[in-house]
Amino acid sequence: MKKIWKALGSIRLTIIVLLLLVCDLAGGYASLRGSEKIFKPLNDLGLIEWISTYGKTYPGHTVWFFALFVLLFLLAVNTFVCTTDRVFVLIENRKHFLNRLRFFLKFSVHIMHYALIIILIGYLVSYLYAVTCSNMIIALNQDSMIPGTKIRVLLQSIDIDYYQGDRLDFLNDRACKVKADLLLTADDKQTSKTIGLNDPFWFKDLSFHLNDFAPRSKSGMQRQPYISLIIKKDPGMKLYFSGTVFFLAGLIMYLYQWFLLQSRKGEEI
Amino acid sequence: MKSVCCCKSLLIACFVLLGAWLLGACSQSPENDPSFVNIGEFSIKKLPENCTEIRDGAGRILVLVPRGQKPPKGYGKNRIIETPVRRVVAYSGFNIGILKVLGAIDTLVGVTHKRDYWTIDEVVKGMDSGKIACIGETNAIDFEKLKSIEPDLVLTWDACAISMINELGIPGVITTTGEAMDLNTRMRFARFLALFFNREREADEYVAKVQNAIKSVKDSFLNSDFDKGPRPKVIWGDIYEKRVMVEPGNSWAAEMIELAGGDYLFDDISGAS
Repeated sequence: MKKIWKALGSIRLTIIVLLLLVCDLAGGYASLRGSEKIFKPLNDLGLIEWISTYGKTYPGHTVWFFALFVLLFLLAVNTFVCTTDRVFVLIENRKHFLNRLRFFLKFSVHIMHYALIIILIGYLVSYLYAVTCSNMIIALNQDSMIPGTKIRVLLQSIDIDYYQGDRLDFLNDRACKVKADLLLTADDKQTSKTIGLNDPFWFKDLSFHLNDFAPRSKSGMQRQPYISLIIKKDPGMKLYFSGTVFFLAGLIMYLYQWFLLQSRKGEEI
Repeated sequence: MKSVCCCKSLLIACFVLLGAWLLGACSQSPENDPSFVNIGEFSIKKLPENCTEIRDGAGRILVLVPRGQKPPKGYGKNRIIETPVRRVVAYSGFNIGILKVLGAIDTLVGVTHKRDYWTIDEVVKGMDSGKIACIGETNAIDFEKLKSIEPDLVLTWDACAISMINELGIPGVITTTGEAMDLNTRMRFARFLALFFNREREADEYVAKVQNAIKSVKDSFLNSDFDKGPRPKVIWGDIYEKRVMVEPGNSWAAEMIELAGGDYLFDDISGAS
């Protein structure tokens, strides 16, 4: 058991996994060009369903992706074992630290490593358990029920800014900014929300993202105003956000430690 | 000694990765598994009890259920389509052309645009006899008229119409995709539409016929003198007010031009049609 633990935490394994990751991602880059449409449904189908459909049908294009999973799993295990070993060593040697703050700051790198594992787990949970309504189209003043929920959504207004300028003539009269006002009704309570491009919002564990809208141009064919929403229930999101917060905390601790050590060189630890 | 061992294990791992890759590439074919087929951004997945789950051009999931059979659970009312479809409304001439080759044009009960716009005989005659109704222009659909002709299905390219069509209790399918359709997708799209009308055999015959036609175009170019000289430079697009919109290099039009011996000038651009 000890031997396996040692092997899993070895630096040699880290180097091999990282080199293989480089090879795999380089192959993936080459394989992905022109075959993006195989991977696009992964966003809303979920990993298991995607593997049983697209993943299985196009093994030549997807094998690098499966290899990536195996390699990331190995990297996560290696990081966990290696970091845990170091944390134990640090705790065992705590009596050598006279300054408690310095002892605490020594965990910064390990916090960042654990955070990385949490982020990876978050993404895995997201791909496994997220439920996505990929293209919910709502016309102006139309009230629609979100599938699988008891939430109704009404598009109250859509405000589109069109580019007007001399610098980029070809963009004249083309939409450059959009804001849509939505009225959400759940349990007889109404909530107003505004959505825009790169401006999603949360409501009752669901995240709302603007996917598409019309009219995109002032001239040409006049289209009815509408928006298309991506609505996601993603349990992994909280995990990778908390992982990011941990990583940030670790980074701040590391920088603080670095500055502290720089300024007080020669001082006892 | 340790570094030799490390290099060895790295090499073995690389070979295993490469081997898996080659094995995957060799066994790859979209037709391998008949329970799942994708046609560009469209997809078809067979479900138990002769039901079929489809993904339309906008990525919406719908289910096709044999007429009279109980639909599987988990699909909204507007996502269930009973097959074979008996009454269909279509926006696009391309879709109607496919209905014609599938032998399902008699199911067409509504189109956009007035009679003068249409050049397909069956549509013109159908509009004359009153069998096919005009439901308005694409930017001004008469939804009351659409409701009154009681279609089982609406085939549309217009995403903004979908919510209104669904509100009328009619299932709608988006037949265009975000990315331009390549030649293979454009051709095999007949197989996607055939599912709605139980016309899979006719679709296979049509695809085989088009494949032969494409091969003959390619062969005639390769056997001609044009093969030796410089290729004519071609662009394919539409001229609108203030702008020209061209087909990207990943479109069927660009592919067809290349096959016929042309040099498509926007070959390096990929994107929407």
